[in-house]
This record gives sequence, C-alpha cells and structure tokens, in this order.
Amino acid sequence: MSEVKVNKLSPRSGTTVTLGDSGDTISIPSGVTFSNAGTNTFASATITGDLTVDTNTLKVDSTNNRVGIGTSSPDAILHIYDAGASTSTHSYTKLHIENDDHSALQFSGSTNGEQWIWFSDDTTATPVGGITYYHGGPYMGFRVEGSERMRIDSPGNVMVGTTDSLPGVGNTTLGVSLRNNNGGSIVASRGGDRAGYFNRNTSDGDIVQFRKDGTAIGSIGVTSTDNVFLSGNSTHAGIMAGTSAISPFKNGVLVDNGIDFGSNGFRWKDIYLGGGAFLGGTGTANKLDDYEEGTWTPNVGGNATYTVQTGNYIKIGKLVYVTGIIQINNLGTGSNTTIVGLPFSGDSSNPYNGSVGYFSSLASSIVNITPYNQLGNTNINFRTLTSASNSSGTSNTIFQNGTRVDFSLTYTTA
Amino acid sequence: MAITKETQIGKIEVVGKYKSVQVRTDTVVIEDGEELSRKYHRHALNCGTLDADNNLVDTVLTDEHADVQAVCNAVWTQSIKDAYRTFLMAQQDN
Repeated sequence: MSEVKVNKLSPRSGTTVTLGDSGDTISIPSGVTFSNAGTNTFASATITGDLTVDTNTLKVDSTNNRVGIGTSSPDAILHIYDAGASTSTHSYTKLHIENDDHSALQFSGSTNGEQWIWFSDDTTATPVGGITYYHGGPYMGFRVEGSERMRIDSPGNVMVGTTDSLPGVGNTTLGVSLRNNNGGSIVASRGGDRAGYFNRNTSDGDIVQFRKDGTAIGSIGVTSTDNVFLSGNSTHAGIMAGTSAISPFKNGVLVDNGIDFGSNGFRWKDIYLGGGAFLGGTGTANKLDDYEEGTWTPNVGGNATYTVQTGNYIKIGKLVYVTGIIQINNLGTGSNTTIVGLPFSGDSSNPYNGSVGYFSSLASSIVNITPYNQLGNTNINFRTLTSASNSSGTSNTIFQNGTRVDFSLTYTTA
Repeated sequence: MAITKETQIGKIEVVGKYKSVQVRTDTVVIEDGEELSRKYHRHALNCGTLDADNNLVDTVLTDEHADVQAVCNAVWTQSIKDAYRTFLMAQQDN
C-alpha cells in the first residue's frame, strides 16, 4: 500500500495521533500548505533546513546561519528589516537593523533601572566597555577599560574623568567638564600639570578670543612667531611678552608712547625696579636709576666725642641732599675745620654749597658760614667771613669743645 | 611670633676717580621670616687724609666690616693713593 487517502486523521483513543517512529522521515512535498483554522502548539520542533514564516515575517536561513525578521534574505546573523536603506553590511555586523527612514534599538525598564550595551573581550568575564543609561540619575555613562570615563547628566553637562560638572571650582577635583548649566562653559582641573592647551598652526594671530555679548573684546595670541600677547580689542590696550621685555601692544602691533600704566585715580601700588626709569626720553640723561633715603653720621675724625651727632640723606639719581647736626663734646684729635662721613662721595668736577641754619660756640667769631663739599671726597668744609668782605675764606677754625653746627648740603655723586 | 633685628652690609660701591668706597648698612626688622622694615645708614670712605706735612695718612679700617676692608684694600692701590694725595694738595691751594 503506497498511498492512503483520508479526509481526517483522528486518534482512535485519547488525544494523540502519531506519525511514524523515531528515525523515520515523513516527507511533505514542496507546495504543500498547512491550513490553520486556529492556534496550534508544537511542544518542540527541529528544522534542519530553512524556516519561512509569512514569506518574510521570519526567515531562518539555514545555509548562511542567519535569521531575518521582515526579510527573506538576512545579511547578518540577525537582520531586522523594515524597508530598504540601500546600505551595505559591514563584515563585523552581527545585528543589522534596517529601515529607509528612522530606526532604533530600544531598551525599556523601570524609572530606577539601568540599561546597558556591553563590550567585552575574551580575557575577562566582566565587560570592559559599555554604554549605560541610568534612569535613577538620570545620566548616560560611558565605560572604558572597566570604569566609567565619561558621563552626560540631565542638564547636559559632559564630564570626563569626573562626575562633578565644576571640577576644581571650590574644590580640588580633577577632570574636564563641558558644562551646560546656565549656558556653556569649559572647566578643566588637573593635578600638578597644565590644565589646558591651545594651539595655532602656521600663522601668527589670536589663539584664544574672548567675546562679550557675541562681540570680540580681546584675545591671547602670538605675534612675531613666538611672542605671546594679551590684548583687548582693536581699540583697547594690551601687552606683548618679548624675549626680554613686556611691551605695550594694541590692535595687533606694538605701540610706542601710546599706552599708560595705571590711570588717574587707579594707580598701581608699588613698583620694584632693579634698574631705572627713563622719564621723558630714552637717553641715558633721562634715566633715573636710584632713589634712597637713610641716615649718616657726621664726624670730625680723630678721637672726638659728641653731644649730638645725627644726619639724614635723600638721594635721587645722582643728586644727594644731606642734613646734619653735630655738636662737639670734646674735640680731642678731631679736625677743627672739616666734617667727614658723607654718605656718598661727591663728584670731582663740581663743588656744591649748602647752608648753616644754626651754630653756636664756634672756634672763630664769624659773620657768615657756608658749608661745601670738597671735590671728589666725602668731606664738608666751611667758607667763612669774620667781617664784611668781598670774598670768603677757608682758613678759620670752626670746631672746638662745645661747638654746634646744624647744616644742609646738596651735591652730586661721582 | 619672633621679631628679630639685624644689620647687614646692603651695598659696597666703589665710585669715582679716587675709588671712594660707599657702604650702606641695612638695619632689618623681621617677624616670623617676613621683613617688616629696612632702614639704611651710609658712610663713605676715601683712601686717606693729609697730615700737616701733606703726607697721606691711610684711612683706618679696623672698625669696618671684613667685606668692606677687603674691597678697600683691593681698590686702594698705591697709584690711587698717590693720585688722591695730589688731588687733596691741589684742593688746599684753592
């Protein structure tokens, strides 16, 4: 009997109809359609060839070991197809989601759950990389080599190496933040090294530009190959750091005699100069290279002793102004004509005179006395008159026990 | 809080044709390592003075700081002393 034609197979008893035995093959020719009048259940099934459900709703390609959903010709191990995108599939692709418009891979979970895409290798069971969205944060995290390296939080702040959107602001946290709170800002904090690099290739010009309300107000840049400048906009002042000088800079060029240092009512406090200041010109004659004030000790040498012995000086450039009071207690071997001990040696080409404001108990009776700096040394001598005359002399003695002279003198140094 | 006061040789300057040595002595007040004030006292030295016979008497340096002595002895050569003596004698003639 090679053919049995029946309209219906029903179990003779119970609810099971068995076709063949284990190892048998029941062949169903091509083109046979299983008509389905309701929901059928297969406890299990093994299909050794292709499986096609509704042409392309589900396709198992047994030849290429691929599964297609929405396609009868899957081009990846799992190919989910809605409409053609005319895209080629990369050889690495294992899951291909294809549409001619939008497409998405959606994870859904609780309001406190995490969804992950993991990346792992063949050396560790723990994924070394991953992308997560944590609804409880909420934030999106990017995991590299076992740790989260970057996070985007709900305000839109992008944080690298930190979960603080203001690293180094009121704290010592390290990291970089592209901050979106209240608008955008860049925050960088680094331990023991520079926290930012800005580079410009090829040409001079701005490296970083600053703006206010969208309008340029200044910049930091480079000029003359390697001179850094900090400058306002084209109408504002700036400075340029040259090899050995900080110079005034404006609108992209050095400026001569056009920019002030401080202003009326807004002065710098102190300025410390190791050299001098050129005032009103750039010649050596314009250079003020010294200011100093202090004390000195007028004396007459020898073993003289004093009741009063004080002196002060002010030196401005080469000009020295000294005041002094000397009162002899016991002249001893001291000079009776000369005060020594000036704070600076006078120049050897110009004599300078001073004045005596008070004297008492002079060794000579005089009507006029004028101190002067002997050329090229540190002494003060006196020109005197003992009576009305048309010229003064230097021969009268001045000092004896008890003599007091209060004097001042202006002279120039060598 | 420790306040100290010390003197330092602030400057030793050699100036002029006759090598005058200008010495600035600084008096410094320091509190816990921070300088509170610095006052200057000056004196200047020439290599000698003339006696009654117009001989140049060398300036006595024994009370000077060792650094000052070293500078003076280095710059006050015999030729400088001779030139200065001549200069002083010329001053007497004025």
